[in-house]
Amino acid sequence: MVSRVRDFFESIGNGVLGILAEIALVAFFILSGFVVCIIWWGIFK
Amino acid sequence: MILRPTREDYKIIGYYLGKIVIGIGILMMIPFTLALVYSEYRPAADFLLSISAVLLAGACLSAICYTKKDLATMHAMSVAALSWIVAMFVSAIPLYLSGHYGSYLDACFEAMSGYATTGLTLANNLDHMANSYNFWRHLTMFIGGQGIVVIALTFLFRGTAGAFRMYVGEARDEKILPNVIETSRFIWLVSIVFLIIGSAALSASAIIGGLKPAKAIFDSVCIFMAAWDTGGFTPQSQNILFYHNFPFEIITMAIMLLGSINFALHYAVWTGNRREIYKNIEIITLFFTMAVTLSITAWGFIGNVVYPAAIPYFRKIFYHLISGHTGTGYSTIYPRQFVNEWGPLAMLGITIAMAIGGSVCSTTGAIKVLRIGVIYKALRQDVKKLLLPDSSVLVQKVHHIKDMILEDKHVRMATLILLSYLNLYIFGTIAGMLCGYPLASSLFESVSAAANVGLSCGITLPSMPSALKIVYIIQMWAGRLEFIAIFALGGMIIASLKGRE
Repeated sequence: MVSRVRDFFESIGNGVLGILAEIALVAFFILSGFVVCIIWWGIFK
Repeated sequence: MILRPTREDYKIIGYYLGKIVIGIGILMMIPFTLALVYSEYRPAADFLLSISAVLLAGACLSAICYTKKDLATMHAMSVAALSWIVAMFVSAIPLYLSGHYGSYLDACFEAMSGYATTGLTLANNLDHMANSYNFWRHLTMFIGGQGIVVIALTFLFRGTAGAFRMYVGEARDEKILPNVIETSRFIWLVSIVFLIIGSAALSASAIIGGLKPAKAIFDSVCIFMAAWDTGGFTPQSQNILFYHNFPFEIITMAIMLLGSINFALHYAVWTGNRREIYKNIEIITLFFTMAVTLSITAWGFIGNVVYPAAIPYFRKIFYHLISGHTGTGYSTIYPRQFVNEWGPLAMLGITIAMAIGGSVCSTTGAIKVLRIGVIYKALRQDVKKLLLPDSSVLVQKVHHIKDMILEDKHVRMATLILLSYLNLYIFGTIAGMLCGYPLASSLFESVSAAANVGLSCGITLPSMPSALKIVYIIQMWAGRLEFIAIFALGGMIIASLKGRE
């Protein structure tokens, strides 16, 4: 019973951290795009 | 020798198609309920009529073709291919009854655009469409993004071997969990969790931006469904431009990117394997293809002062690149601005991004970054072979959830799908040019339809030729199913005509 409760909370924790990791990934993509756009705009405006 | 399908074969296909039609009838009850909530009585009557007709048709088909036999590969592929056509015809009924479409063909175009998660629209006077009709448009997109068969697997079918064959026929060749029903339910779990998070973030942003709470929540749910499923419908004719809201645009960018991630990767990350994010070939390829296509698009803006400040430059160029690359089709400019302000090179950058698309086993269309990654690795392996001594043995690995050795069958499959997509893009481009549109615009719109993107440069209008509407419907259908199920259906039709008893 204790191990089942522990597994449940572990899977919830993994899920939450997984969502945060995915949000961090898309934030990285958007920030990279922002930096590339700023560079292109800065050079060739 | 090809064997002609028997009466039993047709019955199996008919029985499962009937079940899918019933499923669509049941789903129509959601906008019907919404129509009652919003006191939209005429749309409610339209939905009631549609539900009755669709449920009756589905029940008759299932009863006439009743069988206990499981689906063989041929049946499963045919059901997967035909279910999208049948879904288009039945889902177009309430749209046609709404009076916002010039013809039943236009309503069918809209339904296929929704199911295929394309986002091209032929709706007239969209800004005054009743909420229930508008919600139905977005719901078709959510259903199509999840997969019509995935929905049927989740709610209507048992987890048989035939069910898995049907799942594969719907362009989802990765079984995330051992049981295909469990896989379908996991896809729903991810989608529902992000639906709650994404809709809340969009609503907050819209309310802060000045929208009334009721409209903000309705629009946010609709926009989440279309962005997550990389569709592209919006409740307003001005698309995302309507909101004039920078945080709203950032959130939709994030949702579009999340929607373009492979569900197998979601599963790996959600079950503790978070390092997969930066090791996965799809994510790495997506990053590089985005960098290349962004550079091509930005190159097209050299000397072009249409966006004189850095922030509008980012908001317009990068937004459309993400929108195109993920196959969503959300836009913050008017369609004709692509032609009149962006120019051919910038349009080419977006066109290439649209043609590549997102991840396999996601809601995106197009060639997909995994296949681009596999072909690139195969090319690199061949070049290395040329440079190494003849006696050397070269093993090329690909990391996608787990390490895999790159084999000829992977490369052959990736190349076959790539060539099929290129043919489909060319087919639509020629059709557009035959209808009198210029090359750049025809290519842009054709790739947008076939790759299930939905960005338009102004060709897709209710006034465009009917033949071109049919071509785009075929492109959206074939592009969404990734050909294999359609080739199988074609084979079955040929067997029906020319096969031996």
